Amino acid sequence: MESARLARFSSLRWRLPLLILTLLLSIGTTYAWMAYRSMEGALRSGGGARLNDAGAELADIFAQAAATRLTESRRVADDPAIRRFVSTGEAPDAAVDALKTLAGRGNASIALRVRAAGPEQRIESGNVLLERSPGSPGADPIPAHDMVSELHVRDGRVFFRTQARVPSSQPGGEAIAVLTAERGLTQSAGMTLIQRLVGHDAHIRLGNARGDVWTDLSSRTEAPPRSAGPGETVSYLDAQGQNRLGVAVPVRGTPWAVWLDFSEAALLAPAQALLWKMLLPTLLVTIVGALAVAIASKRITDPLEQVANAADAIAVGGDAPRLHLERKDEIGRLANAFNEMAARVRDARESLEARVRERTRELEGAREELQRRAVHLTTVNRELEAFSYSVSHDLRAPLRSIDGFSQAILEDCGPQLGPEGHEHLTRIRRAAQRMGQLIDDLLNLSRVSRTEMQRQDVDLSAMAQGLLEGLAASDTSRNVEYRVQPEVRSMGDPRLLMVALTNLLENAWKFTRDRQHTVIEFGAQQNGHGRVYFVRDNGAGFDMAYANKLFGAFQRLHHSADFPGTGIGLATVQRIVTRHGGRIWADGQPGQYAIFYFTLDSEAA
Amino acid sequence: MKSPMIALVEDNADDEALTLRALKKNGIANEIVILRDGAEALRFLMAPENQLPQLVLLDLKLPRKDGLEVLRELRENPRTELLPIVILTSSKEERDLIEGYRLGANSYVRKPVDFNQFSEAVRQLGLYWLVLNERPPIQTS
Repeated sequence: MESARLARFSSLRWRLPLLILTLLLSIGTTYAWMAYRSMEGALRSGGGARLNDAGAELADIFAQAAATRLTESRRVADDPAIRRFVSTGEAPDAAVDALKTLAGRGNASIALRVRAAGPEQRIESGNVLLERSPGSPGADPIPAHDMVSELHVRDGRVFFRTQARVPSSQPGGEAIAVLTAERGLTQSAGMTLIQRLVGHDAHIRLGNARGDVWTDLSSRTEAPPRSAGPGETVSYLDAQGQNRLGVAVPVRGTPWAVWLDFSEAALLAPAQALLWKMLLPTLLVTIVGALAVAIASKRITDPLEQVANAADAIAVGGDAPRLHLERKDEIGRLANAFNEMAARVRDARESLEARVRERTRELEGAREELQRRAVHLTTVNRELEAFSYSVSHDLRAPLRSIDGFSQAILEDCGPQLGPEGHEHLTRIRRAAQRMGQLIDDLLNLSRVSRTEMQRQDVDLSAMAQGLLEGLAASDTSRNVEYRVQPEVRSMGDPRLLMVALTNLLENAWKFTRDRQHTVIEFGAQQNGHGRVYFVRDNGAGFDMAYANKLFGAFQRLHHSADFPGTGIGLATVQRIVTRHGGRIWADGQPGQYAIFYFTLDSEAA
Repeated sequence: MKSPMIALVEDNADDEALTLRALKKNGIANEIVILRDGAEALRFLMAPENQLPQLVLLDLKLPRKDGLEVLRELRENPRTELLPIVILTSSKEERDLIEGYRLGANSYVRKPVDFNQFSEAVRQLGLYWLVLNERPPIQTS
């Protein structure tokens, strides 16, 4: 279930529309941004040009106004009454009247100062001053030419002066007087027009070009930001933190400059409007596009999901529902191919299941057969058990009788029997005892096959050591040397291995009977296939030609008279080794030695 | 006081004769009770009027009730639960050995085929169980 949920977010259905959405959005916004930037650039440069033009126009208006004022002053200075007063000091009243014509034209105050010898005169009438004095050091000099002054501030009002020189009446005479007219600043209609033409919340300021006094023509203002040079636009932040664009233009014929600025935001407003106008359709196109892709991808992923679900159903071993996709495109082909494949998988599975059922039936039959055989085998085994139990009890009893009563005859009727009778009865007894031995050995052999194996770690060295010590103790007259390699261990059934070792060591003991010095060895060595155990003696040995007969039951290579035995011991050993998954073989030399080698599979594994 | 009695549980007449011969040969003159099958042995040994033997020599293969069954019933009875019982039989089948000891046999001796060895075994048994071994005190209940 978790994988299904994961798959939802990594599914094509979501990934494809998301991709398209991102793509359209990024393309749209990039285009809108680029358009905005280029329009903004155009607006900015256009605005700059407009600002410059308007600034120049404004400067012209101010220059003309200043020139007009100067011309007015000059005309009054040329008035004959003025000339006369300047030259002679006569008719001051006429001069005052002439001056008053100037005062009537909006000037705040008019002053005519004459530097000439003679009696000092001073007439004040209203805002007109007439003054004649010889001049003194420190008094205002006569300017070198007619001029418009810088702006000044007095009592919070901004004003300027025009100064017109008045020459003496003698031709070529030097100017000895100056006519000074002081005016406040007023807004002209031209300025208002320009302000309206520039638009964009435009502000106009006028000031001294060197920057000390600035006014918006109604009151004093701060100086505008300094531009890099005259006529160059400057972009700056105003006190309200708004971006503004401004330009300073010097006013011809005066020490003034005019400053014009307007809001950059207002200038760039069309570009922002354009940005929004472009973004909205972009967003719309993006959403519509993503929706279209979502629908299209749903048309692809839905059938794919059907196929995937059907494949999942097959994967978990179920039957896939048949896909009904009436489409002519690749998905239709996929669905058809899938339907075909699902049908084949179903067929294959059904045939496989049929085969499995058949095999199961066969196996069931085989199992029942095996069970029957196992039951049979158990019965046989039980019978064998009962048989050997009976043998062990019942077959020996008659032998005991034969032996016992033979002995009784020998004891009770000994004198009547004679030597031959003794001999016969002795033979009978020997035969009975031998048969007892045979029965015991046969029972041992059959027990070796019947008993259940219990594998565990067995210390063969300790076992061999104990057996050899027991044998040595049974006949202390013999000179026996035994060498047991220490720590030879194996996994196996301890009782069976005990029987095997007992047989092998007793054989060694028996066949070395005639040696002056008996040597019996037990040990293990490593060969290419695993561990090989061995029992070696320096006894009678055997002829290798008969080596294949060593391990058959009742097979003997020596005469009973020489070495008594039933011929079952080695057969028993072989059966034990075989039951352990091992192998036994022998090497010998008549009169020299015999070596019995055996392996136990636990080491070979 | 009478010399202690031996009970021989044995169905085979030959074995009975040979056992008696071996006992006699070894000078064991105790009274001997012969019991020829398991049921007879139990009847005799369980009867309160009968004196308990010093030693029971018990064969395993017996008609009617076999030796191991006899052994079990003797051990279940308070009167005979401590009675010295030696299994004297032909076989040394492992399951007989295990079952015999589990049921509380005091000893397990296999009869050898060789009569001389058999006689020696009987001698040693007599010596051990009648002379050396201290019998458990007779319970009077």
